[in-house]
Amino acid sequence: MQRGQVLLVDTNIVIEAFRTRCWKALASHFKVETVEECFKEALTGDPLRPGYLAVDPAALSSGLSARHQVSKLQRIELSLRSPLAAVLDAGERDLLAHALGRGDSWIVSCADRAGVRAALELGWEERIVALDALARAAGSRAQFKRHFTEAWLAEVRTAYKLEGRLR
Amino acid sequence: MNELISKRLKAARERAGMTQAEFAERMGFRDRQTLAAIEAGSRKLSAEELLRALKVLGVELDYLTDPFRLVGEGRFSWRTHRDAEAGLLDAFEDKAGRWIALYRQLGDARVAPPSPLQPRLALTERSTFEDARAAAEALGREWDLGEIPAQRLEQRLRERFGALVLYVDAPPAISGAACQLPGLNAILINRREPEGRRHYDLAHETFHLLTWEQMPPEHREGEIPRGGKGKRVEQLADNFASALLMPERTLLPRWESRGRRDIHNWLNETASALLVTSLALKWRLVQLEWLGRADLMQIDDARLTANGRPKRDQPVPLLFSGEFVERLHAGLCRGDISVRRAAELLGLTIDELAALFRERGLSVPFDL
Repeated sequence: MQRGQVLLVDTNIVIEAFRTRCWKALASHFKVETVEECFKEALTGDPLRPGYLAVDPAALSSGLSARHQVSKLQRIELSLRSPLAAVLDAGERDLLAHALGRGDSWIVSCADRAGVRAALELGWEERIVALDALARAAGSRAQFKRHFTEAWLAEVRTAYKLEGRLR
Repeated sequence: MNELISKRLKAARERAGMTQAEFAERMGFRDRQTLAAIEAGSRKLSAEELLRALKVLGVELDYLTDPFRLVGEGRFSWRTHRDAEAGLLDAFEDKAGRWIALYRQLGDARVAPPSPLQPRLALTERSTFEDARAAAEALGREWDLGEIPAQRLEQRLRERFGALVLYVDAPPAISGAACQLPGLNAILINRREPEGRRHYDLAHETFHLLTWEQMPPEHREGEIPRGGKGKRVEQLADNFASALLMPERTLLPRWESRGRRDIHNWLNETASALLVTSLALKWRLVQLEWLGRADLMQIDDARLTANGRPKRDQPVPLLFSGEFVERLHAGLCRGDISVRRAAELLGLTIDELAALFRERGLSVPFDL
């Protein structure tokens, strides 16, 4: 995890980064990128519903180094490589479909057990990083919900290994 | 290749009315055997070939890959009001099919494989209404439904029939549905309906599931013309439901001890005790010939509305069912579905999804 490295984030990560106010720190330390579907999801929701957290569209856009469109062919390639991708939501799936086609040294942050499992199935164990570790590297001291911590990520990795599915 | 894609590809081709030879030609394969191998799962499709297949078949990628969707399987019979729009029903059926597919997909077949045997009622379209009522009385005894069958019916459907019963938030024009698919029978009940109506719907849909092979119900009951075969099946189902929930053995001592009580009060109190509607009880007494035409003239249906109680006092069941929510909980704990996907399929926010587990006394399997 290096300064200026491409960091791919999904909707959960964006929302938690805004909740904990570490978005700006992350965006200045890494080249934060996402896909169009996650961008839309992060800004969607009924503000009157309990638990709604507002994500400022301008702050989200200005913090992103890139926002990628994902083609049907990319989605198909992911489906053929990872049956687990089918249990994810549209944004989570698109982020993996985009990552699958990249050749550079990107890293990805994900806080959903099924999402992490799909990434592990694709052989990306070394590329998945917990949000708390990323925020620390970016100089933030924010406190995160459990699914965004290294401890939680380690648990999911271990459980996956115990299933004997890790390559 | 993913087994699901092979299976769905075949289902999509058949739905499009294409033979293997026709589809193989449109795909640009050299021979039909190539496609046969793909459909059998023994030859992989490339991404470009799959993209072409989607175009030829006119389907979206999700149609071939989404495990939380019923494709080429699942037969529904809906209980709707006459004014329910077809578009509304189609949209709700799509949603309901996803709930049922979700439940099936997250099940662990190693732990509880579905029984290869399915109970069936020995009734046909030629059976009389008396036959349907006798079958209901007998089933009530066999399933040990007790004095108040509505209390135990749902549990017995799960235990003896392996059926999934879901209480859902459906548009007001939709009362419920029966759904049959390989290895799983399901009944959906609009949980906002009055309590007595919900139990009646459950008993009515039970009839359809137990007679589906010999009397397949119409897709939508509200549209069945009078005098047709479908109407006969629905009348049999109503007679069955009525006798199942209000068996003669339960009614007789209550009827005989009613004394000189006002019939409206007696109907309201007895129906409330049996968890049915007073109107359904009135018609059950007519079936039993304990009430005649002259008696009916004395009954004011307005006094039977909501069993004579204020409507707001009616309890509403928790959303879906205990087994459904427990299975979803286990699936999320294993990472067999993402939290956002689960919330989207159930039409809930992530916080509402958390509340769904809490109200069933379960831990929330995520902290997002």
